[in-house]
Amino acid sequence: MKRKLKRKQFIGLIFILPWLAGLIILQLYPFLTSFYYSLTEYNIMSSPAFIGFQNYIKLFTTDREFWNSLKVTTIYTIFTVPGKLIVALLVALVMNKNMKGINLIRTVYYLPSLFGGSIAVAILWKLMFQDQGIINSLLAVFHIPPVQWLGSTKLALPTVILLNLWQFGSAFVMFLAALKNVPMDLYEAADIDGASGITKFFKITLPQISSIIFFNVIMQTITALQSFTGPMIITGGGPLKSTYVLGLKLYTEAFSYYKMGYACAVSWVIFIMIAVITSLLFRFSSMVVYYEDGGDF
Amino acid sequence: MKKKQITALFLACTMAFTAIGCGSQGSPDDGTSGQTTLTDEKKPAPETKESAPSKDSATATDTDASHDPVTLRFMWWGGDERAEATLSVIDEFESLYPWITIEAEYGSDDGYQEKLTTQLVSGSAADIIQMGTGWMPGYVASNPDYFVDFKEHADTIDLSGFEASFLENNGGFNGHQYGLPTGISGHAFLYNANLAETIGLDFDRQYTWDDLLAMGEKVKAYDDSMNLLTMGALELNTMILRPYLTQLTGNKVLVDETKTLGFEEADLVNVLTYIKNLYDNGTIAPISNVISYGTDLITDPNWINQKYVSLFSYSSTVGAAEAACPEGTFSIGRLPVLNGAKNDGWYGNCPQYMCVYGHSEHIEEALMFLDYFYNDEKAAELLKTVRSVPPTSTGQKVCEELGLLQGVAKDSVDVLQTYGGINDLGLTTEEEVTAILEDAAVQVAYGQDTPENIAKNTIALLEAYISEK
Repeated sequence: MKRKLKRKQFIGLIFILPWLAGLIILQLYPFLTSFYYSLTEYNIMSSPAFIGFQNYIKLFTTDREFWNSLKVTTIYTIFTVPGKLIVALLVALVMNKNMKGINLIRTVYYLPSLFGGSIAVAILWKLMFQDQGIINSLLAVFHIPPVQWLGSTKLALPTVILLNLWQFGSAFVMFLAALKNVPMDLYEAADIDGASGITKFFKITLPQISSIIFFNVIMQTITALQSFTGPMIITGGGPLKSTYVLGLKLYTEAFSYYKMGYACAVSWVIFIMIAVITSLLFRFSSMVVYYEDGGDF
Repeated sequence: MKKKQITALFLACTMAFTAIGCGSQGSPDDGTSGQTTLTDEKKPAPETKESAPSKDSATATDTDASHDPVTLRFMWWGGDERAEATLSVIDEFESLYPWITIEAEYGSDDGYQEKLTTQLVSGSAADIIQMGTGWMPGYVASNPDYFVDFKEHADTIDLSGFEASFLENNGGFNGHQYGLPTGISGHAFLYNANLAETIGLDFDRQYTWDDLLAMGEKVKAYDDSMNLLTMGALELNTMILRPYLTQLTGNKVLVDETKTLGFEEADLVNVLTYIKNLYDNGTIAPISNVISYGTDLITDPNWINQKYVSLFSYSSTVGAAEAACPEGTFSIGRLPVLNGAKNDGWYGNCPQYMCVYGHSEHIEEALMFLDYFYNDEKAAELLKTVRSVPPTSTGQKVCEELGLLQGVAKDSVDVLQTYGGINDLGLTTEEEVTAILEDAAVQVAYGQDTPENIAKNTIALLEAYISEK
């Protein structure tokens, strides 16, 4: 019996071998070696030289760009995550109604996310918001003077954030599924008690979908902290580093300056930030998230 | 049961290899490195002759049956015109040497250097490489073996068509010739001749930086919605900050030999204050209006609509700037020089180098191709001036006969040759230094801080950079 079980386990292992090989070769190995490289001075053209925690010390003590990038990334995350979730939830609430052609409308609203964080969409965004782009041309129709969306240090980051808010599709689909799962009898009971629409939303809908909101918060936070494509394509981190997120700093250090060790240190700082924020969110989730089964995993 | 296990093992192995195959970069010779790859149909495989043919023996009468097939990879960046011309040269070469196939890997310059660096380090670089002049010193300093020394292969590639000192100054490193210049080019000042005449601007005489400032005021007085110049971060650094500093001090910004700053703090304050004045009086279009166009200033509708009188560019790109504004009539002006300058600050060089990868398995064939590329009349006819004015006597003769050596590109080279500034390639043109200098200029342009404070911070960053060298 024991032998048979082992054989079964062996077969199972073979089936997961491709995934396991991918995990070890493409994720675990780079993950571990990146920590080693973060302790070295390494320009990829010569052998890495071990320097202990010098990269981390430099990052936190003398690199002013790092603190700016941290600030930009934090602002980006603070506005992107709630903003995107609010937009996604509002659209999901509308799309949850039964109306004619609703499936087509849902598909149309999901379309921006099919393009995702693609280069093409970012380039389109850049062209739209340039000084002589279509947005300023539209404003001109209403005699509004041109706005320097990408040239102003104050407006560049909000413009990049706007692109992210527009791509709410994945969160929207999950919200829609969650809304469909809210038991109708709860609403019927509330109707009998004379509850208003707003009361029903805050007392029934939100608590019932709180676990999905929490999941979306986690996923969107992780994505926002790792953002790269939008800022890279639309502004290149400028003007004056006003959109220079940590992902861009990592890229620049690694592939423009060839400071691979230093870039690895930046990546580990991002990783630790994500780990800490995620664990904090989990810690406080029990206060706001409702699980039908009590939330025991 | 056993059958199931074998099937499972087979499926797992197949999936694993498929997954690995998807992520593969391809070996140096398989031509699957993820770039756009265009090839002719493969030639029939020959059977004999192992060694590569010498230049003398390789003639159009050779047949593919007498050679082993060789596949070369050639990577370059550039626009459609350059791509079409280069592909035509490849076709011609392949018809002359049927056993050699050249796979073209081309695209824009976006991310080109990043890709090239990783390829050089990982041993998967193309056999023939178009190289940025600013990157080359860093690569050579880190490992000269990345590139073939052309001087060691004089029997395969004929370098006599190049002017000797030009060749030495463009691609020569400590007595080795690791790169071959692709053309004669450098900084250029392109101006809208009709507008300049109407406003009363003269760029044909030698003028100073202060004259430029005065001409900027004249343009504003003529039409407040116009500017004399449009400049992005790149131009502010390469066309004002660096040449102005060199004219002021007689040095490069960073002196490679001593690894020290080539200027004093007061010099940098001087330059940054000048840039501030250019923005304050409207000589240059506001940076916030143009920064989003990046290095494509000629796509700005204000350039197309003749709202800017002039721009600083390069010999290799002035043609594109001229073409972008079809309603304008353009000329090449002289470049500004400081009164009492210690150095001209402007110099002629080349837009790119051609290199042969030092670890290529087919160095001889790669050299044969470059020999054809530079010295064959048919190749020169096809290449025209897609990489600026040709650097070889053959190329120049053919382009002259075709009437191609005229217009703004040629004029810009002629103007450049009247200046004898020091070539500042090296530490000054390294990516990180470029970023520091561009940041300084852009901070001034945005009025983020005073030139004095920006100069202090810039010097601190440059010194930190030097200390790591």
